Amino acid sequence: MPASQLILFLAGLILWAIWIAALGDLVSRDPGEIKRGSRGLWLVGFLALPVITGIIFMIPAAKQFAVWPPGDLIFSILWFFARFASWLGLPVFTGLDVAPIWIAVWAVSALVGVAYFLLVSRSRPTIVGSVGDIITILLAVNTALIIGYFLILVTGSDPIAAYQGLYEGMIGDKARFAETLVAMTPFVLMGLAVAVGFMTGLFNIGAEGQFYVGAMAAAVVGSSFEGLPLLIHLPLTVGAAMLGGGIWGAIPGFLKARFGAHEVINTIMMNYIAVKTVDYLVKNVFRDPTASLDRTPYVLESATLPIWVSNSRLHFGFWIAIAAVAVIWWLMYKTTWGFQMRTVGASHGASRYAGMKVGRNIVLAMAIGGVLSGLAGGGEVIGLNGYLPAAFTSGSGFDSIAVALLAKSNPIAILPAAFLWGGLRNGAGLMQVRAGISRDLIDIVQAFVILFVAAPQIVRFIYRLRVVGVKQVVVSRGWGS
Amino acid sequence: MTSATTTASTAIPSKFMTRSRWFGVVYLIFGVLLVYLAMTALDPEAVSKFRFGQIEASIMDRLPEAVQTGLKQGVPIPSRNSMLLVGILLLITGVVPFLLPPQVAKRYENLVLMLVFGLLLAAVLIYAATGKRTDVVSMLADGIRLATPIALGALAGILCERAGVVNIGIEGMMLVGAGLGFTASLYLQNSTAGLVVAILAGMLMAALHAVLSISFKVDQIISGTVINILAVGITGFTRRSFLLDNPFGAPSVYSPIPIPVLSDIPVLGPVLFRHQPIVYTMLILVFVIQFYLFRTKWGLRHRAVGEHPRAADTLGINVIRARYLAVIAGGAIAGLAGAWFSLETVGSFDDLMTGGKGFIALAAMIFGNWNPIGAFFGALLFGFADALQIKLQILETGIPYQFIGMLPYVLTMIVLAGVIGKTTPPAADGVPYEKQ
Repeated sequence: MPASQLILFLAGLILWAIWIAALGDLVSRDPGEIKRGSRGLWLVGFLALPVITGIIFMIPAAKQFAVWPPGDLIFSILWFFARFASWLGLPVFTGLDVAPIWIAVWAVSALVGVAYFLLVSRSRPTIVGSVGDIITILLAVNTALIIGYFLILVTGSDPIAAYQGLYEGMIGDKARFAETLVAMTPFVLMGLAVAVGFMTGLFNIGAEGQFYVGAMAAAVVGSSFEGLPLLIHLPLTVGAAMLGGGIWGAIPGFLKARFGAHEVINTIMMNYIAVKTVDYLVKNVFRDPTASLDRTPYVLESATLPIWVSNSRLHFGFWIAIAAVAVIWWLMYKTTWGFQMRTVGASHGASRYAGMKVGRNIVLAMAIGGVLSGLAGGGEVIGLNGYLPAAFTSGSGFDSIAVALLAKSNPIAILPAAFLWGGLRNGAGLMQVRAGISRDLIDIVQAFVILFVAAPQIVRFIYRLRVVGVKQVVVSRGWGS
Repeated sequence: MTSATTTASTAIPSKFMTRSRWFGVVYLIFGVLLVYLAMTALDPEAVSKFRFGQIEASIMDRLPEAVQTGLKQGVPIPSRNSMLLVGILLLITGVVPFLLPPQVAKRYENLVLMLVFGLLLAAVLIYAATGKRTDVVSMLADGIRLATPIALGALAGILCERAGVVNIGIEGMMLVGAGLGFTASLYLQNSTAGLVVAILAGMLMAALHAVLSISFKVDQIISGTVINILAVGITGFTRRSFLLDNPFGAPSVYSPIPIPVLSDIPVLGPVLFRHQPIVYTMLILVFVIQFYLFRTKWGLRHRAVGEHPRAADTLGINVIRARYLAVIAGGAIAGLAGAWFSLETVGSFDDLMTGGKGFIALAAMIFGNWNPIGAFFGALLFGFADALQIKLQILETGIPYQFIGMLPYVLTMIVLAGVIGKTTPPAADGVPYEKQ
């Protein structure tokens, strides 16, 4: 591992950080405060070079762009968008392919940033509101990846090869991108489940258990009722998954609302109970007698989610997840139910004083979380595997918390957060192959991402940022209330 | 938080289904289940035989003839009738809360809960041992052994929370202690060094929790979750990088140290005084921390920081430092609990080997009302449930092992629902301190 490459790598990241901090400052500044030039002019200065390079960077991929069938067209557009966003947001990866050009582009852009600070801002970069959130999170992810970089170095592997593998495993070509979207689908739903909890002041660690129960319900309903038409059987199966997860989520909600038993411990206990119950049911009650390993019978054709991109495993569950994002956003921000839940999340006392039923909203939020996680589990069964094996560990319970934290509980932001998470998981495989480093490294990197997102002060301290008007998530209200 | 709690507790009596009555329903379900099992599944003639460990000949000879044969061959207990008895008792305890005025029922709730659990465990054991012979003493000893990580975790939690820091990352601290401690003992070929590393690793994770939750004022539950996730990553990475193929043989686990004289007492000796070192450490720590918290001036300061940090600050106590010390000390204990898994029990390290014990420890802590001795009894409850579960698997009862394995988790949920609300957490638990 040559030292020059290491220096180039770090230099590029610092330059990128200057660029994005200056950009953030520009975006959050009042137009009247910009003394020299206009905001539009500065924006052009900031974005011109990276955007042009990003487009050039994508030309080799254009050969894979498919126009027909429509599913493939939409998929190709998504893929291009993701590659482009990764160039602007995560230079740790993209720069690795084209190091000298990359450094040059970021150097020029950072120069624009420095010029901006000298001519206009002359202060610590000050970033307001959600722009601050986005930039802090981007910097957090990059910082975590830098730590991972040094960890790889310590274990004696080649970090450049490892991160190239990681990047290509994420969005290197269409097949891998499809797998990333497949991996992202349950994270979207479970991240939403945790986010709804956060908004209601609850910490739902039980997404994993609700996931299993949903998967079990879908496996059972999907493999029985032979002869039902797809239009009835598929909704029935999805509904069973939602119901199963919903009940599993509502139980700790009820225990919290009625007895004040803390949901963190109860949801974890429900996870263990779910794993064991499902294990029993798969091995003893619903086992496929013709199969050699312990699993449920195959889901019938009429209950299977169709594939929407040719030559991939990408099923319609992806669109269900997107729809769920829209529904949850609408529910939480545009309806009385959502308003009540968010009020309960802000203050139990105030909401009770306003005549809202705190307990009812707690149960509701947990049940909605369960419905979403159950949907995720059901989708995995009827979209991907076609059956539920006994030793089915998703391990995505903690990941879903991470996604919700990363998205700051914003339903829309869940999408990029889940994409990043699914991508890291999916790319870890190729990273392991390319650099011979254990894929567990990604767990550590991800833990650092959450660490920096949970404690944005660290990132802001490192990058000398000042962020104004950002709320911190608060979920702990002691054990009793 | 305080206002919410008071309104909630004043609102409860107006409802028909009080907490005691909900629990009555649960007891009724168990009672019906037991009676049904006794009537259908058990042979009226069947007996379960219980032995009480090895008893020295010198003591044995002085006992009456009948007792001697009983002890040698196991005390016979008629399975069906005793199951029926327990079932009927449960039915009665289930009905009583509906007959009594709610306030009276509320007073005896905890006591009844403990009794019911005792009865249930006994019933399950009798059922499992039908037509067989089983040793009660070894089960009790196992219970104490298995309660060790839970009790230690609860102690770690008590230290943190008495200083006002919610610590949900105990599981992660244990896991890192188990993983790094074992790795160190393997590579240094010295299990004492492994223990030291386990404790240091726990302290390091706790220090991270302290920095996040005390200095950066990150939400303490989120900070604890970060610890848990980080622990999974670190230990998984360590295991695959250093443990899967290594040139060393596995180190042997700590051997039991029978305490002279005391270990010869019949029944009590094997239950309490023939254990491995971490078990003894746990027993000592329970009393040391109880004494420290409630009988020393440092303990008073420690608690003051968790109850009313502003007042403590006014009196010249350094709140931030006190919280840091408390959390890091808790981490050391959690690291020790981790060493129990890898260095004292199994002699190897697996991913996620702590299996939720850190969370169960929190339930034990709440059960014990943030009191070391109380938490110890809570831990014993879970330890015995765990021991029973192992016993049942050996006895091949026909109950699916998955359901037996659920026992501690279900127990945790019931205990949490049954006990919380009547316990009082430290007033400033979970609230970051801002100096003015």
